[in-house]
Amino acid sequence: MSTDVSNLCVLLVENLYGELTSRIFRFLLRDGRLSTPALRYHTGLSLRQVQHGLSVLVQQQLVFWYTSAEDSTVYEANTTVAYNLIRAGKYVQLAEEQLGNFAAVTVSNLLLLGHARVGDLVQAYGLDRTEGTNDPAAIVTQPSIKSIYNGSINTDIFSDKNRISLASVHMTLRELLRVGFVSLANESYFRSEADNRTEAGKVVPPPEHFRAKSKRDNEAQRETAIQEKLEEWKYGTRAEKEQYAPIVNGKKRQLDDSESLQAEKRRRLLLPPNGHALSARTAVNTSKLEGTNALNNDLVLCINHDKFAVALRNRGLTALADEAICKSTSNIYAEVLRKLETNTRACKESSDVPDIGDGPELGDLPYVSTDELVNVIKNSEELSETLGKVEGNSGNATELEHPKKRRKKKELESDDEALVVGDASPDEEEEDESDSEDGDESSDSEQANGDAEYSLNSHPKAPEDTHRRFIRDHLLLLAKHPHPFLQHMTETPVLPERWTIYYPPLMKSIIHHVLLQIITTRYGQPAARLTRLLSERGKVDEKNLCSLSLLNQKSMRSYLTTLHKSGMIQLQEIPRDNSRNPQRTLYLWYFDAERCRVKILQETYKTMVRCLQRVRVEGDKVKGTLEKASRTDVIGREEEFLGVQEREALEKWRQVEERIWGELGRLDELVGILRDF
Amino acid sequence: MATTAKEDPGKDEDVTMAETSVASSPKELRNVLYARCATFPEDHVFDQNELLSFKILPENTVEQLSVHTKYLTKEGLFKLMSRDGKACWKVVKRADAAKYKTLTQDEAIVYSYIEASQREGIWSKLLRNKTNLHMTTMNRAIKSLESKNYIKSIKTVKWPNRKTFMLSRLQPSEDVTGGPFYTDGILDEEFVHQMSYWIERYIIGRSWWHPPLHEPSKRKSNSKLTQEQAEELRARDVSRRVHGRPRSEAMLPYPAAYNGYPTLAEVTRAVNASELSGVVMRESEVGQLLDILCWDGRLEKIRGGRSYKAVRRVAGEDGAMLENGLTESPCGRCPVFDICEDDGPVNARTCEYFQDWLEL
Repeated sequence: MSTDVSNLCVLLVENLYGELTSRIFRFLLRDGRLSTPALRYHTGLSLRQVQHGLSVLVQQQLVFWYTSAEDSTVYEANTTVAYNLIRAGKYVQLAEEQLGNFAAVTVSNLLLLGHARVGDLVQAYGLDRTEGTNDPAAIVTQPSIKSIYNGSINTDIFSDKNRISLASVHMTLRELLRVGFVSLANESYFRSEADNRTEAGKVVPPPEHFRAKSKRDNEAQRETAIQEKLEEWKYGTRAEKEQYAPIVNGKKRQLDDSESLQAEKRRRLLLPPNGHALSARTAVNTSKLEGTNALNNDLVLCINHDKFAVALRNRGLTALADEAICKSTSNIYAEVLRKLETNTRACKESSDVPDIGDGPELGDLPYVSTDELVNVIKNSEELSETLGKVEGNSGNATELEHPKKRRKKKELESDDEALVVGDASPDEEEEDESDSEDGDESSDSEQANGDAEYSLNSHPKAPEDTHRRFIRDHLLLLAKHPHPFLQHMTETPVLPERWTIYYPPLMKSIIHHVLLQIITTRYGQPAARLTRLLSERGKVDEKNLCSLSLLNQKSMRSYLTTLHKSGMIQLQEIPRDNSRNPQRTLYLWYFDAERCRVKILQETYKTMVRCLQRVRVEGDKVKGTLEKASRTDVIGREEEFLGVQEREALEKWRQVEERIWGELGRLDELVGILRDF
Repeated sequence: MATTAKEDPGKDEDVTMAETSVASSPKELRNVLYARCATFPEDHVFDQNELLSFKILPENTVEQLSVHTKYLTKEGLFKLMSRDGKACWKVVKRADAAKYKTLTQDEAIVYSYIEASQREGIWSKLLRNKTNLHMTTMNRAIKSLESKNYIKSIKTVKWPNRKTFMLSRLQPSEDVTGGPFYTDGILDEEFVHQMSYWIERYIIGRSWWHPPLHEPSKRKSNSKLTQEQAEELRARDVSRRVHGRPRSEAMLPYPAAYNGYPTLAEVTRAVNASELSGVVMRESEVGQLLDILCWDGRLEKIRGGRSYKAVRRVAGEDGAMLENGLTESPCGRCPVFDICEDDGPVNARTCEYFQDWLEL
């Protein structure tokens, strides 16, 4: 972990949760896992303060904690959640886009609370005042988090309280659970990965238990058992999944007596042993919500960062498709992504999926069929209008038939011209292409097979199904693009035509694209040319580089030096003899995309840190005015209490803050691409 | 005997004279032998058996042949070579042979090596190593050869600092000049830029559909076109497309079945048809330009690298850069970013770039 990331995390925590928490958080980041006494020693705080700070951190899932057998609890910083604080605004926005206003409010409340029981959440809306619990963390965080949302979403809709019914709260929660933006929290969420493994190791019986032939097999079986256990903890056991599936899917089904036993079990699982944050009340009053399939009040919910990352990735991909192809294609792509989103739990879950090399295994990935898409996407003129006409004119039927005749005619003539002429490339070339493409990379094979099929003249579908045809055309465009946006799986006797996305190569290609974009804007076009050349050709010596890039040797050298100095490209020296004489040494330049990615990522973190620091600097400049403006008696009556200058300063400060936070959002997009997606 | 020699174009008067009279004197015999050999391609190498098979010499023995060839070699008309340890000969043109006669011994050696290097030229250091001459001797020889206008000094693209010589009557090969992109051994950047600009426009026109600016209403009225009309329309269409287009926001993708994306061969043909370049461009050279455009991120290879397609949006066009979070922030372009530390000389508080950026 670099200093920049930890600085960033500390700053984010400090911004939202204040000095005390961030101080503890900083020491946890600096010194690794610490117990409460150790924390007291390092931070110089009183036990009370440390406990108070830790309770906030635990509530917000900003620290992992683990109680070992020796009965001392140790705490560890959770940088993932800390970093994701910066995305809070985007989460709310996404929830609003997909599930409406009220879902956005719920998500923002859940963000405020960190993790919460359903009962507490319901109570937070003021619907169930009988079950009052005090949640200190929520109170602590309420004022400061406003800086993120600008206080708009929360207060506005809270004032509309009378519209909210208990049933609608539960429905929204269910909806959020179904989409996956919110997940059921359990103990494992509060432990770091390593601790989870240790725990799983304790639960799973020792190797001797597995009666395999050899010791190694035993170990292997135990390993899979541990992995299963971890999986269970993360996504719930199968029984639990079955149990909650109907609730989540919104089918009417009450928790009856036969299931109450399981629910009890689940409840126990959900309660952390030391009970810091969760009150261990079991009083459930589901009968109140007659007729609705309410969620158990004791379920603990938390934000599912993984799923939000998936949603953010989809957003980024759609924007990229728009940039690379066109608007309506990206709309269709968004539809595909939305369909696939439900089956994608996290951006990088495929780590356990073995390397997919060939077509048949693509079938294991979640897919969406053409028919599904045709049903979802509205028929509109736009689909056809945004595609070029092969003939280059308004494309009536007669024109489409012409090329064939013309081609024949051209073949009789000297075909020199025919090649220069746009669409009249000779047939044999086309066939030749599809043949040879079979041998190419794996993903190409299917497309090549498709080639013959979707050539315009031999399209099997009748003209009345133009809607489908246009959708297919857009999808094929995506599949054929140099960024492998989609993988096309042709129709089989059993399965219809399907589309899927294989993310690793896609993301690799996008990361490369983004890196090059940064290099272009920073160092200029020739620098990008050199970098692309190096990434394509591998290691190249200066002389070859010069002749390949068609650049002046002098200017090329200056570009190389700048790139090298900033760590974008590397230089390798190979002495030709033992003397290591520079005259007799080969110098090879090369581009290491991974190294470059890490470098840029670090720079992005650092930039974010600087932005956050600058926000504070700017804030300090107008400190007095800000303090005055945030006085309770001034809020709402600014006109009365603040002078013209003060109001101007405030306005300016607001703009500056907005600008910097906007910038932070965009920087976060970059981090998403380079790190998470 | 001399019948075959008659087919000789007869550049040499000596030879034609020798043919008519019956070859008897040694000199005449030599002339006949030379003329016979001169009918072969210039770089043909004769071995002993081949020369004997001409049956020019009366006795046709090896001894006799060697006398004659020795003489011819001395005259500079034959060049003695060896192949597989056996002697063989090459014919030298009379004009060249005459040159040798005027040269001193050193000059002749130097000249012979320069001549052997043909269109590639020879580096002066290499020449010295091969000839084993002293520096000053060689320089004198070279100077004298240059003043006689027998050789010239050229510049090679790969090693611009090396002094390289070749025969003055030859044109340097493409390896030496670097092809059409170089003038006098210096990269012609403007030429490269203009050519790639033209190619890019050509490919844009072929890989994106540009909605027509004026809707041809006439075409709709008569649904049945005659053959001529259709051809004419098409020709107009094509001519419009071949000239290429600039990038625009209005560009729309062609359907996936479209296969008009140009290949290397097509681009080469179009470039040569445009007659932009004074010389005919070869596929490899156009390929070099296409590679560069790809590396610039303006084109992309599709169909396994066989065809080229223009990228839809490109940075730096019309001044609009494609920005992202990092490059547009002050830190992303900060020249002192590396020394920016919390308590360092540059930090978030003292940053001037931030100030400028916030006041934008």
